[in-house]
Amino acid sequence: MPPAAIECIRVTKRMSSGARVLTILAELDLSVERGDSVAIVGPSGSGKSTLLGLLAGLDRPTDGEVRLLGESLGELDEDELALLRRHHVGFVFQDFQLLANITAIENVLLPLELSGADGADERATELLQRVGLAERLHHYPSQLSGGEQQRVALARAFATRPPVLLADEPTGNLDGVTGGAALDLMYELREQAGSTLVLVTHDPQVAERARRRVRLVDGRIVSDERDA
Amino acid sequence: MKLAIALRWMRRESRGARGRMLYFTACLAVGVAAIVGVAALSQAIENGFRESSREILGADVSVDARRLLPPQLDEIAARHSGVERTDVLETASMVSALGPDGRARRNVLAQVHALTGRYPLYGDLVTEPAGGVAHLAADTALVPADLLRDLELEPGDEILIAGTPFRVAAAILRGPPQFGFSSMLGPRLFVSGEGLKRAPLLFVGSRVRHRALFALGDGATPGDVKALAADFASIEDAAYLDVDTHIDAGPGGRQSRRRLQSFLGRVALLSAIVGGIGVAQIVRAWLAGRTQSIAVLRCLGVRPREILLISLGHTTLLAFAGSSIGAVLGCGLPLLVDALVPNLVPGGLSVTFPAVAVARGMVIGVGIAVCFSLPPLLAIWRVSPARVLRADAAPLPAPRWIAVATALAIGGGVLGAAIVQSDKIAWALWFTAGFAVLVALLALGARALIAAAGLVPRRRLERHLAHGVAALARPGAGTIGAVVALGLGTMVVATMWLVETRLREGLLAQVPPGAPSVFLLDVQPEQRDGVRAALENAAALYVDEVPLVMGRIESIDGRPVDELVAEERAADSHTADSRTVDPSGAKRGPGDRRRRSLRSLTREQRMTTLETLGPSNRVVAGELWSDPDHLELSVEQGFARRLGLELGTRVGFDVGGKPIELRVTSLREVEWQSFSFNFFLVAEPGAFDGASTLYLASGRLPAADEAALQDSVVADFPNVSVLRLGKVIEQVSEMIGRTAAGVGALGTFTVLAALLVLAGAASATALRRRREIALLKTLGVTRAGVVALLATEFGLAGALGGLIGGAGALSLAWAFLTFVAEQSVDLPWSLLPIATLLCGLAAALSGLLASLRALRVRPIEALR
Repeated sequence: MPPAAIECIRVTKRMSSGARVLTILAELDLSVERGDSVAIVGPSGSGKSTLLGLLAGLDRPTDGEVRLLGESLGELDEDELALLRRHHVGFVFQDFQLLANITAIENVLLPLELSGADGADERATELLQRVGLAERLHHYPSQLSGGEQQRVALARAFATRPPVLLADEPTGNLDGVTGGAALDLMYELREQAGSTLVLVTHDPQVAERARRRVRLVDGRIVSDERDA
Repeated sequence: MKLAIALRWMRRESRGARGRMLYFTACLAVGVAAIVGVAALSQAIENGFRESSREILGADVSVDARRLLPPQLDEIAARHSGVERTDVLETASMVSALGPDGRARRNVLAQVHALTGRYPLYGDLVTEPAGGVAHLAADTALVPADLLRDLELEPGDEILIAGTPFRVAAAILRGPPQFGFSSMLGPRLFVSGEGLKRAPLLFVGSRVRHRALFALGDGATPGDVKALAADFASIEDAAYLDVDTHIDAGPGGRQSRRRLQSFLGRVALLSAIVGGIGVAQIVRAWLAGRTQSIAVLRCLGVRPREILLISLGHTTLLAFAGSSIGAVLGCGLPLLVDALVPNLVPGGLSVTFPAVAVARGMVIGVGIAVCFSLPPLLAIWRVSPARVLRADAAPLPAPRWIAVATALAIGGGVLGAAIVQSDKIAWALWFTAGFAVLVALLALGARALIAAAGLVPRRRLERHLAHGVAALARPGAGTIGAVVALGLGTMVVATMWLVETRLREGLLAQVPPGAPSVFLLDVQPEQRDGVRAALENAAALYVDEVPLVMGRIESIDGRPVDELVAEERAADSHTADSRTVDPSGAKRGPGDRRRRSLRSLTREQRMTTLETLGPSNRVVAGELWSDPDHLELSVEQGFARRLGLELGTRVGFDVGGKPIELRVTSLREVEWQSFSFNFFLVAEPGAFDGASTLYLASGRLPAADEAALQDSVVADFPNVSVLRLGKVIEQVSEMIGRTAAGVGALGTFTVLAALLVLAGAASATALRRRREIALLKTLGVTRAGVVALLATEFGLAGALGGLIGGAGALSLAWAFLTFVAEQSVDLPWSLLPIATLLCGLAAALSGLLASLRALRVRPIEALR
């Protein structure tokens, strides 16, 4: 049986704030099966985004272990973590995080070029067509609306068909209608790519779309629900 | 990462970076233009000299000496085919116009060259009326047109040369060029060989240089020229000959030109390095604005080293562009100089493509850009990818080896550039160490002043000033780098100015208070009383008179000079292989010292007899006139060392055909700068009794009376030359001024580079500035108000740079003048406020120009 997509074993994250040391996550255990979709919910400051950063290897836990696709992240250096993300992880952010000095299609091309995929141009064009931006390929992010930027970000996230997709408040900066459309698109692309989805949100409606919902309060899991 | 992808990413990086690219390339272009320009101009000058070297020397081979030339010259010339010879006797004399009263008026010290044979052998002597030396007869002279104008004469008029009338046959409009000290002796006029005999200029002990010019014709190869010169140089018993060829002679002071070129090259290097500081500033500010993008890239799986390579590749491309622009500008410098100063080199500059200089400039430009970019690029490692989720994510530590390597990169870059520019590793190491200390001191000064600015109670300051002071200390303002760069630039220019003006003043100050101001040369024994009376009539304050006896060394400790010369020559041939060759092409080594001693052994010696020594002489060994049994000789210690003379050595002389043996009983140290008559060889009184003797006289009198004394001496004693010290100092001072002007002009490149650094820093922070300006406008500050705020901010940074640079220049100039020029220094402290003010103004202007776009932006665009 293949290992779980994501495993957190007694993960603790502390940070110093001035003279104080804050515990953001406390001995947290979590396992996400391959192909599953999990929403991490909780109030502001509960540690959702910190957890997402740890899952992606963007940050390191103070204690405990994080495994991604069976690989223990603590044993990898920054370069190895970068390569792991390059080949296995896609990201969607609340504020899109598109590179401002390159066009929509170049943003989508970025992970394809990094992974050395063949037919990168065709794949990027196809993805942008699928997200409804066929006419906007060569526009810069500043020339696109918020919804359009998030669609470019989704196309970029799924460009390499990553086994794991991590999303941080993907509809947080969008109005209800646009956010709903973006969410639909994200689930549709996820289905096609077969990616495991871990999504951080404070919006119950967004969380409802996931098969599983983990609730964090003060850095601890207080509930873990799964659709029947 | 594949190369094609990396290149594509580099291309994308350059988008939206017009401002950054402009200043980045400009910073480098200025430095590279200075480096290539100096080298290209040097090359064009050297080419010009080389192409007209025959015209400058006036021959293929020149042989000269202060005594009659040996007859073997003709025999040797006859052995080589097609050799033509012309003889020139070179001396100096007073020349005058004839006044209506029949006496000399308007006297000028001039060079008189007497020609026998065709002249010039190469080049032109253009006269009006045309005809050149064909006009010369026993009673005619060719006189420079400028001199004729000064004397208010015209062709056909009479001119007095050493009191002898000559008819001006033609005015010289252009003749073979002259360089170095001889060109400062005064205008040059030509007479015939017979003509010179008419004037009372040839007598025992007169100052005549005998020169024979040889031409081999247009078909001669360099080998033929060198063979003829080698044959002349190998004449037995003629070590006193100076043999030059147009190929090797270094016409026009090649050595001093090379030294100047090398110095200018090093000043140019400084502007390139200041440009490097600008590059570092711009890269740092650029990365600060790219932090979020770097975080995204790292989040997407791009490794720091890949981001570094892309950034470095982008930097290298920009550096290549900037250096290319600089190289093109530098290549154009000789054309510009040729247009502005057409007579810099006789025959004009010969401009060719300076391939080596361009390659050197490109290597230095790109190398400095890459090395100076590395430390700021280290920030790539420190950007945490977690910033994509949290803006306050703590920076990551950079690997230690990368931190060390990038920190060393700047030192390596400066060292590498210095090696490439100078070809001298030891010098490059000193330069790098000196530069590091200098920058560290400037940075410390800048940091201290900025910290002090932070402590100023801003509430009490005027609004604009308060903003400017606050902006100085703001993190990420790039102030320190800009201040250091401007400080460096200011220091270069101000130091050059200080050293030049103080050296000029020092020249005058060097003349001791009681030193003579007028020297009277070639006074005959029967003229002594008359000359002394003339000096006394002119109320000269101090009158000195010394005898001058000419003689040749015949033997040392009983060994004939011929034997010693043969021994020296044999030793010379053994050491010929051990000579070292320095990059300037000059050969130095034991062989050269021997040639100097050979010349000293065989030349005509000027000697004097004195009862007591003057204040500029100090006995360092033995005792003056202490041996009643022998005729005694006192020798200057350096001269003694050269000839191997010691206390007790017997030196035999031939004085006017009479053998005299003297014994060395004292060695002296001589202060040559004392402006009094000094000699290598001083004999005890009576040693040369009966020998033909001339006298040298000197006196000190007010400058206003010098001309009258000169006129009266020339009228009564036409053969006596009058040398006015003030005139000579004027000439030297003018030469220092011309050199310093060149260095100063190059120094302004450093200031320009520094202003670009400041403008670049302003431009690189344009995004932040746009927001600030928008906020200020939103809060109701008018555009004029914003301009005033920014001008104060930039002006204060510039003023700091000027203050620090001015202080640095005062320190450097003081150190140079005190320890190198050994001159007492009175430094002008007013330099500090002037440098502060000027740099402040220049910085305010350049900063505002760089912020024009940000100033034009509408608040809503920046705040949206």
